[in-house]
Amino acid sequence: MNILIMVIFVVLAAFTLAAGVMVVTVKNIIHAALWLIASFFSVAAMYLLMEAEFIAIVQVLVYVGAISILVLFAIMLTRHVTGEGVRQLYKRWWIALIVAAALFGVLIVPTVFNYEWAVQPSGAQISIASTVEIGTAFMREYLLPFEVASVLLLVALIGAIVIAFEERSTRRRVLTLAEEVEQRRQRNESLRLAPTTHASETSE
Amino acid sequence: MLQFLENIFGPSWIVSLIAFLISTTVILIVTPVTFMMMTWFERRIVARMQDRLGPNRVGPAGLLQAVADGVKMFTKENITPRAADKWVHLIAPLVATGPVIFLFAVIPWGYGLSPVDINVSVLFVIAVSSISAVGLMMGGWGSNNKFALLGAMRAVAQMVSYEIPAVIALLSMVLFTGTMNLNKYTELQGGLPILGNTLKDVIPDLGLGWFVFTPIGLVGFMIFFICILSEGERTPFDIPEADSEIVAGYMTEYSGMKFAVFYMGQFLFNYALSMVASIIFLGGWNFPGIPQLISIAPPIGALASAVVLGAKAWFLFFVMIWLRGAFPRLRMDQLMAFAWKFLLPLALINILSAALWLTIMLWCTGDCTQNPWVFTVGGINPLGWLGNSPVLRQLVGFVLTAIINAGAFFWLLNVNRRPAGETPADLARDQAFGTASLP
Amino acid sequence: MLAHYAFIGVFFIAAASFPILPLIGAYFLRPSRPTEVKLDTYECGLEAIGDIWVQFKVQYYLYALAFVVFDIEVVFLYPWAVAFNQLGLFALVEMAIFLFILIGGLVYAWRKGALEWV
Repeated sequence: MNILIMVIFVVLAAFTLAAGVMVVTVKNIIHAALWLIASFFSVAAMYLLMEAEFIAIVQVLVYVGAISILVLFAIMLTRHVTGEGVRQLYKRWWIALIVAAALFGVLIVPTVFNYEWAVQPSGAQISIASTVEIGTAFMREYLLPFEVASVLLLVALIGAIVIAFEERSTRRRVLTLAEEVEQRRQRNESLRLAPTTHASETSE
Repeated sequence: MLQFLENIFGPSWIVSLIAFLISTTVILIVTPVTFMMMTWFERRIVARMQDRLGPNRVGPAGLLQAVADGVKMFTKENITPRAADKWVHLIAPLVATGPVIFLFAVIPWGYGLSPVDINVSVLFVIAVSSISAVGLMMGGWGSNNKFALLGAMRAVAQMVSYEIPAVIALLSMVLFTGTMNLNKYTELQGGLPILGNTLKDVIPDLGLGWFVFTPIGLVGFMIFFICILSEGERTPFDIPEADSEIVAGYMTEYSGMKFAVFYMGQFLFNYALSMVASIIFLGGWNFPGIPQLISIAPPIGALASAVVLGAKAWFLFFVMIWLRGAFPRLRMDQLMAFAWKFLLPLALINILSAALWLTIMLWCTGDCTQNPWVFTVGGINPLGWLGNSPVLRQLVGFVLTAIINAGAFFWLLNVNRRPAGETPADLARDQAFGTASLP
Repeated sequence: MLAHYAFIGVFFIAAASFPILPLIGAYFLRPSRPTEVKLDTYECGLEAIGDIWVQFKVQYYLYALAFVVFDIEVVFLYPWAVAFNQLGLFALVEMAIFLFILIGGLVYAWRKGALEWV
């Protein structure tokens, strides 16, 4: 059974990493977002493997269900950044790689060395943080972070509204189809006119 | 199932795997049959409401119509538009429908007929059902069609808007019962209306203590049912596929089996959420006589309980069809305003009244000194007059929450009333001439 | 308990592959006669003009963000609701504060007109 869990873990971890690599290398931005969602989902599966059912469900609810929609809507809000034919990797990508790796090391090394790995005797009942325990912890030990979280959420909401209203006042009007056709006609006319004027300029 | 096999063969992971595969297979046979029955049922009922006959040629009363449709779907050509993103277009129906099937992993079908028993099944239902939105978005974008993208954007905006009131309505019930396990909801809803199980010793279990009979449950049920309609894109809320505006929404470029898969996902989503609503609010498989039948003959009782639960779910589906026959569709701005300005505040107030009810129920029960639920004003317990009788507490809680919820309902109706002097004609003109534009 | 999750895993694989089966079945049964016109983007018989990627209005994003905020709020509320019986009056007051801060956000959005679909 332990080997089976190990195999499942390795498969999930490999998938998460592969999806993460796809996010940064894929050319189409929507495809990148979809790969990101896939990696979120496999992280949720890993939580379930650790028997943290509440965290796993929350991962699906918040990341796969909500954040992903936010990301997709944010992409739809922009204008024409499909990124077709755009190089995704910057020329000096290896610098970014080193910085990211260093940052990851700084975060993970102290944890690995300072954490007392509780080695469970085989067959011992491992206590799992249930939802009730999480709820009690919110109300006792972690009361202040809990309340601060609500203020943080409030700030996020207000910030979004303020930015959206600024954006709304400055944005380009969405053209109706008739206007777009009209614009296209004008552009075509100017294109038809352009070579002659251009030619006359160069001939002088 | 698992217990039974383990008793015979002893615990072994192969036995568990076989048990899993058996129950999975059963569910995966029952759900498509349910889907086919639903399409037939909907067409017949809507036809009857519109003074037509509906499909009545294939098989008895047209029952085999769904099979004929299935054969047709299998032999239809699959057209992927040249401009579409092939892979996203292909995977979208799978992402939209897979989670819906996955929902059935935690939904019990009757007494002792639950596929799995996890402690967070209510949250599981909410979380997994929210994945479908990604599938709709993929379908809309992958088709590379204006109607499809617009339909997908609308569908997803609608789904996320209505998910919040639904989740908060369920939260009030989780608060009420103190559990997120769908299997436990049914036993909590036995006994009498309003009073629940409190008079168990005096009056036999009638199986009528449904939460929908309490003010909190009633408001929660209303909100949740409206949200089901919206998330399943049933008629008053079917703007994403309003055929007079945007052809078929995100399904515009889908044909053949891919379309059928989308369609199946939608119907099964309706059915799964109807089941959840029946379990949480309509008493699950409780009905007069069922608890007695279960205690006398468990196998027959289990069968009867499955029938009762199925009947409740089908009744909710019938109400959905009824609404389709009765109402025109809402406008996009009305739809959004309804979710954010009416349902959401009502759901939040419902949580507060659920907390109030629980406070009344828990206030200084048993040993007063040890109880965290006591608060004295100058040495006097302000709720001391309630005594230890749960019946009195239930009644006081009922009256108080009924007043709060009814007040909140009418207050919100009043707040949302159309401003004086603004007629529907004004609004229509505003839309036609661009001051209030639709996307 | 892990056995239950194992069932969830098995069921997930089954549920994910379930919609694939009819697609595979249809692959062998259906005709495939693509023509130039059939593969065109559908636009009521007209030729498609312009890109599909119109810039969508900011309202969609605003709703999505409000959705995320309330979703996370709900995630915080669920453990509280489950543990409510054991927590006592103090937790009720705490949660009322938490809720009222967010209701304040909702009222702000409403007053500011961010919930209007314009």
